[in-house]
Amino acid sequence: MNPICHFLPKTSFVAQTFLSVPFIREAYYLQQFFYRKLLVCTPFGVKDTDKNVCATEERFTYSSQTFFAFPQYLMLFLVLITISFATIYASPTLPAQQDTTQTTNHSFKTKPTRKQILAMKFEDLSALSLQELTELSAIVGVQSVDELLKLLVNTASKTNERLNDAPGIVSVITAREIELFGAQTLEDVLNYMVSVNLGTNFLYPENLHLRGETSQGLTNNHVLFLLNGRPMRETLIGGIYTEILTGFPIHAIERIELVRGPGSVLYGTGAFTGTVNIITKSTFNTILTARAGSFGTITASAQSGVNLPTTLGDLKLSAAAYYHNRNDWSVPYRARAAGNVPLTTNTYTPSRQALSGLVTAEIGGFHAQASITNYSATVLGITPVFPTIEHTILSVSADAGYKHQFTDAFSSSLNFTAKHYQSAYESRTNAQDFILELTNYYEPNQNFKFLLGGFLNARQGTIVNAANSAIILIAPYNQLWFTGYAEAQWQPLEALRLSAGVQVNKPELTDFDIVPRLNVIVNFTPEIGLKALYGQAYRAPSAFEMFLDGPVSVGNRNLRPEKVATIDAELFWETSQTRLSLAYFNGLQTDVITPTGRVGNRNTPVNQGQYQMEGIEFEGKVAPSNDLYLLGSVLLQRNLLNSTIATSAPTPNLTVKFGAGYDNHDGLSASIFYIYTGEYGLRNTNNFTPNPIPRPYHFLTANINADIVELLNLSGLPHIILNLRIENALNEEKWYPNPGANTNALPLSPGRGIYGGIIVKF
Amino acid sequence: MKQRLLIVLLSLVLFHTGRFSISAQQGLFESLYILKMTALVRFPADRLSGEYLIGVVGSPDIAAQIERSLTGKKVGEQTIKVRLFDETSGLSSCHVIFLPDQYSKKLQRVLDAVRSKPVLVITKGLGMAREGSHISILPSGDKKFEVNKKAAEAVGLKMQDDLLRLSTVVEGGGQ
Repeated sequence: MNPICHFLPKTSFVAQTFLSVPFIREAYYLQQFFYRKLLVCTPFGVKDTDKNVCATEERFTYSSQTFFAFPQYLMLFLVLITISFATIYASPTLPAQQDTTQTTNHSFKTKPTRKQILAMKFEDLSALSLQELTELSAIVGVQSVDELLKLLVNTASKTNERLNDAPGIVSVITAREIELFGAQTLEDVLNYMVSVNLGTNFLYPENLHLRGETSQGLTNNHVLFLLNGRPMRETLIGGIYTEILTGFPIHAIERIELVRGPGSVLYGTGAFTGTVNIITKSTFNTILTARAGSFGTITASAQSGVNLPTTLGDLKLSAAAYYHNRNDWSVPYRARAAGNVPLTTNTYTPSRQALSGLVTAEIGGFHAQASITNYSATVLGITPVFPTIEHTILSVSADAGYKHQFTDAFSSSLNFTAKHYQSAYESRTNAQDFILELTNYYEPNQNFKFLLGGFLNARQGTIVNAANSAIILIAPYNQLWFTGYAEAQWQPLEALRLSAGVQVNKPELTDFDIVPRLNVIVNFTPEIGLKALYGQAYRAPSAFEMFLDGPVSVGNRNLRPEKVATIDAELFWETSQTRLSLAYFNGLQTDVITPTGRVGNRNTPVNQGQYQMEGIEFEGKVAPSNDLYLLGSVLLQRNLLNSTIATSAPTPNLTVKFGAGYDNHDGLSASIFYIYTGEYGLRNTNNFTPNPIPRPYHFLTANINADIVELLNLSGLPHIILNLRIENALNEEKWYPNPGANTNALPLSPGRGIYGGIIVKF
Repeated sequence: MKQRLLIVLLSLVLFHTGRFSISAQQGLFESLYILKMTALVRFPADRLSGEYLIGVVGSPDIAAQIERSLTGKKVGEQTIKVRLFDETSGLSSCHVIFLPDQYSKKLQRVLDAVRSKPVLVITKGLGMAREGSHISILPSGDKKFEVNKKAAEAVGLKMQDDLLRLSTVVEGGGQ
């Protein structure tokens, strides 16, 4: 109740007066939170602005009940209906023989096990119909090597192409790898990928950075997430994916494509250091899962899909629901308690919970999808101080699109994409983004492709104080952005592939801007090739950076987009069982948006400063046999500019990842995954270290799956897989740097945890 | 202690001496698919006599696997014979050509070698049928095959409905 601002020595009298009013104080905290990370590293040195933050005894909390409202129940209802429907129609046994060819009729009453299939004689197998054989091959899993190494990707150019032909540095993780190495959340899955580093902060506990990242922004505003190629971007704060990282239904994933480096030519703002494209299965297989274990962790999911024949072709309907809760991880933590000056040690319990639903539908050229996630986490909040508060997020990403093939050479797709985002802790945020996009594909022959597209992006939103909605931090706004893009790919020789693309974009209130990219791919032999890429990307200023109107900070409507220009080179070697890649990158970020400007007594963001980072990435995947699978990666990076900004990257200088999986295809699979995270450049320069200093750590995970139906050779049952997962087996402490606050670091993940679960696959 | 444990675990994996057989089941099912497709694709009358030649491009291992499975089998009255081709010369005498995925870059040369001839070209991987192969075996997904019906019909091959029902029909490849 007492907003004593005696630790505001550097704050003006006017500001202190304002801060004596509770709701304005909360607004101030909000601004401080978002600016804190940027303020601490200015081109002029480090400023510990958190000393200026007034602690408070009273923290507004905002009940998540507000968000358990109509949209989520509707979504869950749809998910449950679809799953029920699909479960009824999805036959767990092989279909009765309908083939009228000269094959013998075989009608399997029950689904055979892999052992039973492999025990069959060739003559018996050859008597089956082609349809039956395809069913049996899926059970046997004969395509595992193909699934792991022989992939087509479509994120880098919006068209299907081989990994080696894609105009980008692309990595892929497949459903098979996810199953082999196990994962509880999407964050776990992405952590297996090259150059992905996890982070955390006081408000968005799940966070990640890619190689070349120098921004200490609290969100992922330099990485763009796509769902089946469609953006899941919110632009009010910009780059919030924490709820997706926790709550996305991972069993619905077919593969994830990660394009490292600029992606703005095709995807617009935010595809800055990379693009993550989550590609779901076209029809979800029916799976039920449940898992529980250390730290009060409970995870459960259900998904199913069905193909219904219609006159327009198969109608594919799929739905998935996912629940994750971790509420019993506690760590001693030093932070100020509300209203107290001295630091005290408290027990911090960073619990998190997510409930999500995903629905997809496809028929003919139509495709629609909707993903909804309700997320809540216990966080320390802006200051940060005790007691903790609850941060709730509700996000919806939806898309409806139609692709039409006009001629053999020409096709077009039209998409309408929507994103709804709302959150609450000390303030309430509500934002929507709408994209209407037309893309035209022209491929007159195998050696030439041309892409021409454009989109309108309408955005609106507002931020108000949680306790008093009359206090407006960002007044309702409506903006319209225009974007047009074109890209051509030409293969003049069998061993040479060239491409060039450009995007023209016009965010409202800013000038026209252009980002280009050029790519050359040379195949020295069918197995060895080289990619050389130059590309630019941009991040348009968020609504928060443009329209904020607070007592201490104010937005800047004259901001220009941040830009990055990156040179990439990749040498790859691919055989039937191996893919190795060695890449170099060098990225120069300019017009960096930093809150170092002043308008009267208030801070304001301005375009100022630049970063430059270079590094080497190695990635390898080897399937020496049908049983064994190895993958690994190394990221080594450094800052090229010797300034305070450049030496404070939130990503480690060295990351090593290695995974090994064994699958005997008789029902037993086991794997380990090891991650070494090196030294962070980011740290407090004032020796203020109330909590452990982030150190390099070794993170080892083990995962075992036992399919008891296969192991016991039981037929007629769905696959029942028992899962044991050990995370952080070496019980290492993982802390992530958060300098300049009331503390220096945050715990990144718990100690050793053991989790057991069951997966039922129909 | 932790580092030792780590080294032991990694060593166990690296020195694993498990079965390194290159996907025997994979070759088995590829053989079966090819055999089934011979029955689901109708050839012109002048190709219905003599031996039924299946050509495998590039890979001796895969050719040997398919040969073990299919040699001696019959398609109608024709006896199957499997032959490995390192180069594209002679391919036009085949009824079926199988192009393993690691040699997929040779597709255009294969198509050039059998242009306008009633030769069924089977490949592996998404997108290959759009580039002109007649049937492509897919690694995953609801449909196990992609077929380029137009390209097949252009050379006198007729695909039966039972194959089309299990396949995604695509176009392309300049047929």
